[in-house]
Amino acid sequence: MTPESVPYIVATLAAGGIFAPVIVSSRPVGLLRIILAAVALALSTASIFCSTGTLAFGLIAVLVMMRGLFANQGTDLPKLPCIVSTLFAVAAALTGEWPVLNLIAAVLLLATLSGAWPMHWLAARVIDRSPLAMAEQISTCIVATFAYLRFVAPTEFAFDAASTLVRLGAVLALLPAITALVQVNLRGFYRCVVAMHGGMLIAALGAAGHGHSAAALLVTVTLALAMGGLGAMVAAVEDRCGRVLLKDQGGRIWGMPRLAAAFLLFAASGVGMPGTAGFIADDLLLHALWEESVVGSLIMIVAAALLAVASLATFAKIFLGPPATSLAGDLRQPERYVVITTFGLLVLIGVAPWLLANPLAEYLRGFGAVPH
Amino acid sequence: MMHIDLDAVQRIALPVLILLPIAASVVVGLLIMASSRYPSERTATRILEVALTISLVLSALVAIGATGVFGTAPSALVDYGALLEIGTYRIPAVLLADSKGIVFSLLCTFLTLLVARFSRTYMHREAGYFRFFIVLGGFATGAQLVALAGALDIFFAGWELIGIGSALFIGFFHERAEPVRSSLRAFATYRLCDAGFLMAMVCVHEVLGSTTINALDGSIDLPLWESTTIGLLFLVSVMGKSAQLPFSGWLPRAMEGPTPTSALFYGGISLHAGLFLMLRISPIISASPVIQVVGAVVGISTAIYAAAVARTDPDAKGALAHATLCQVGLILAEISLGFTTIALVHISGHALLRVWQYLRAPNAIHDAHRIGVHAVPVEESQPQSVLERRVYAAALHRLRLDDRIDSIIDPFMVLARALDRFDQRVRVILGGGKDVDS
Repeated sequence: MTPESVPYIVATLAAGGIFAPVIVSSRPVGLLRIILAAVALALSTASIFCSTGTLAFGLIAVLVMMRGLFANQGTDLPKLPCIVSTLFAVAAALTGEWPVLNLIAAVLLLATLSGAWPMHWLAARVIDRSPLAMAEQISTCIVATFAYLRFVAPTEFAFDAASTLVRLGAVLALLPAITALVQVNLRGFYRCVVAMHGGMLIAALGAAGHGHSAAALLVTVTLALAMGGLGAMVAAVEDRCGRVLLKDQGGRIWGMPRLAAAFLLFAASGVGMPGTAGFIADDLLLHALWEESVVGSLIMIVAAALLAVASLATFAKIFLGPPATSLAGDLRQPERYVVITTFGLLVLIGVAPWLLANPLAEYLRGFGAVPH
Repeated sequence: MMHIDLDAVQRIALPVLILLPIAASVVVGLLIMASSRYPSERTATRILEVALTISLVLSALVAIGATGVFGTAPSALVDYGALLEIGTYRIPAVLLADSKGIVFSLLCTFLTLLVARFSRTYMHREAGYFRFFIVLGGFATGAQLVALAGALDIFFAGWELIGIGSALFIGFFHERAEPVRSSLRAFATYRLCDAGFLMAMVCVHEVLGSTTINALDGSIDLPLWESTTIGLLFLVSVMGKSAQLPFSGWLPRAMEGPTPTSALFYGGISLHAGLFLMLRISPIISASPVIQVVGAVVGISTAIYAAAVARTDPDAKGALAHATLCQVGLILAEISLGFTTIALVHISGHALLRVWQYLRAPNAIHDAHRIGVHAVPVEESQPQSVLERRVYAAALHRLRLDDRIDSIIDPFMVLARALDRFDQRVRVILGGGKDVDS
């Protein structure tokens, strides 16, 4: 892989994030939806390759707005999250001359897209209507993070704000990790997991201010793949069983063993399972955070441990237990292919992280970032 | 005579013997995931057993090669470059096939294959048969990573795979609530104690500039507080994995899993993996008298506790688990006091004995019922003095370790619920009086 290939890799990952939810959706896939996905892909790709921050964030604003106006038409998905994201993207596009405002707008955009605390109230609305739509929204994070790393992270203000963002991100990750332990329904759990990863992303963006750009991109790729995959599995469970309460053991593994396995794999890779991108992202992030704030790093370690426990406990409540009487089927063929591809990518980046991280470091050097 | 480049052979053999078992698991998993029908039990076990056999053969060849029978022994350190290298940060891809690593690797491959063969019959037609073998493959790779890792990052990957495998096996019979609860408790103990490993690993990278096992030799030059802090963080992780006091409560609960996995994890490899970490970090231990004292005290206290509980436990597997723990405590004390060679021999002999005892446990119970248990008369077996009665009661209740841990967890869960209510309020305020969860 060469540094020149980096935008193509990012574009491919973004394409997967855009089309995977279309493939696994239980709704009939109309022509309009396919056209909109293609337009979304074109906008993402243009944003990845364009040469100015104004244009990159501007295209992201159009992408998010388009989803709010058209893609969700005919559904009861709330428009507000898309409107807020669009406003932050527009703000990031227009404030390139003022680094302070530019950084704040870009971080708020990514916090909204990734569902980080306290912007998770918007994510909660999306997740409540459709976890699959949240998975789709998260995929936009890859494109937005890439724009952040190219146009915001190399500025002097990002350098100065690094430690503050790291500490803030660590605390924002810890809070949902703790609350994930006491969630009473599956969507609440998913919201907490996404918010925890959103906190990780904020911390990683902070570390990127001091040149740890690879950590930030690996965190966002893990967020998109693992949380996107988990969102798809949450949607798959709810398609079959309706709203899932985490009261007693559900015993669903007997009827849907593949779905249970996929849920566990995505949840585990999100909390750093060895052999997946999550393990490398966590490792890289912790070292990056340690240089900025030892306390921030320790908080992040504790948050990851708590989320891992919450994830296993939730898995146990949904899937384990005495066999449940249900006619709900296991993963359908298209869903299986999406699971294999998405998890395959997580494993590929986990066992060969240099494929992505090394050319990325070289690539970003050209934008003034000093990779560590 | 044909010249064999042993370094090149070892360079290929090591990653193959490590990765083959998990590759077999992936193949079985893909067969299940991609097709509409499950493969036969025979196909699944064949795939895994072939992988484990090749792994054992390669492990044996590496061991024989290291003795120098084929000429000059290959270098113990096998460097594959870096898994990731960005600026000053590097995740080294290094394996270390030294005497400690080879002995532990051989032990792990042999025991895993033995248990896999035993389980083919034992688990026949059991619900979760495929799950059992898929997880076993992942565990085998984890154990090999621990044995042969040349860097702490790789060691941690193996360490985590062992932990995940252990939790999944404890909750194997998940149709009952108790195994699931036990599995969660074991996993929570592992993960929270592993925070110590992660912190120690990051510290090692910062103060020694590298996470390779060989770099730990430089810890002798560190200030005492630094080597002590790093050593204590590692020790916390070891205490969790090897069920040392006060984290011993999960061990008897772990007996909920299938007997072959109890044998492999708690008789053979998992409990001893913590001790193997202590062997690997022995340069840090020898650099800090504080670690030596703390490690010895923890080990001996656990040994005394486990010996007492083993004598009062009414359950055969529970008694066996505590008898195992007693020896594990003693080995921890040995390593802390610097007797690393004795400890390695002790680990190997002990693991072999305990696996045999665990695998024989169901038969032993059956034999005892068939032949007749010769119980000691009640008046002779009862504790006589007040002290004896107190010790007996404390051992019978296992020092109420679980209750004490729960007394820490309960307030934390209250805090978690309070935070959740606060979070819900924030969502209501920001969302203009609407909340999806309310």
